Amino acid sequence: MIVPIRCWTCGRPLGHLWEPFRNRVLAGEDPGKVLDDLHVTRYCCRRTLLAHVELINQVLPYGLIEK
Amino acid sequence: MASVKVLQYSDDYLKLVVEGFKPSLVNSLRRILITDVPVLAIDRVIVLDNTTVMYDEVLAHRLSMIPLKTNLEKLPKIEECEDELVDPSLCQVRYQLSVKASDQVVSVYAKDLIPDDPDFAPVYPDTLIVKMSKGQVLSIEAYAKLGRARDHAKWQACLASYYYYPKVQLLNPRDERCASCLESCKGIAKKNDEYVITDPLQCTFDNWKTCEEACSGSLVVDWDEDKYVFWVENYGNMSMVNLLKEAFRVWKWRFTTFLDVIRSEARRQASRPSESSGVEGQGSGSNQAAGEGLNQAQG
Repeated sequence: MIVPIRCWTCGRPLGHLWEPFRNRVLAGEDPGKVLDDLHVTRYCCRRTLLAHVELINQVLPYGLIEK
Repeated sequence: MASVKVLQYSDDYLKLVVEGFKPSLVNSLRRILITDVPVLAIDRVIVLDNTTVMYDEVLAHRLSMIPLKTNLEKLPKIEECEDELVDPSLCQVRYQLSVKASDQVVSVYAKDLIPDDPDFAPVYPDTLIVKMSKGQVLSIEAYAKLGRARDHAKWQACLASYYYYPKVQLLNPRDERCASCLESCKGIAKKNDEYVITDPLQCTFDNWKTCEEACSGSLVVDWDEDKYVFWVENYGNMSMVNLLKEAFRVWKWRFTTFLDVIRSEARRQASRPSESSGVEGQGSGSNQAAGEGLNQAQG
């Protein structure tokens, strides 16, 4: 639903890299090159970022409590 | 001959060539680094108010995974905390998080987590914790505690590993099948129609093995039994120097404790009256021999 804070497998902190990664890929950069640039070297960390689907924005409107 | 050579050194990454040690010793250092270096991680969360789309327990889990700067000089030793030799409140740090999304969607980051002591702030302030839509509130009090990664991955301070130093020999430098190696390995180059090994470390051991397969017979890859490339990737909780210092302290502490246990057992065996072994029956012969061995060791 929301980007994991650490890599599922090795525990490397990744949560702070999601926004730069997303913005750069949306701007047209090659995802592999962006990951190299962010020093995400192992394939466990790379798939955690690469395969992530950010769904929290779709869920967000349903959390409102009417008072 | 034992030696260590630094190839790469920064606060995030350390790469060494280690020579002259058995794998058991190098591996024990690797394991201590991964599972036994104490750092802070959030362990207890009091949710005062949470109307976000995220459940309290998911939120608590995300908070716990956030790496926190750990100034070990300001905290008691991990053994003292675990054995409750010090006041438990000294082994913990309090954090507060209070965000209200008043008129638009708000992203909550690790920098919104305010520690009582700024020395223990989150390592990566831009870590995304949760998103909130208009009107939602989040108010949390959290306590971080010293711990080890053997209990939970949230306390992991670094990752370390090692591989054998590749021993590469080029038997036939004019074999054209080696051309495929140039792509996967930077440690091999082509000069005047001949292939040359420039640096065996520019290529991982596995890649060298692939090369060996590609030009079989011309390139031979082997390894030294007691020479390794050892690397440490620091997750940032503390500086590389402090990380290694603490790892070696814990390592030494383990050996000392082990030695103390053996000594006290030897002393116990030695002070046992020798008649008692006769009362226990026929099987006591081997026990007695073991006891004598320990007596000698103590002497």
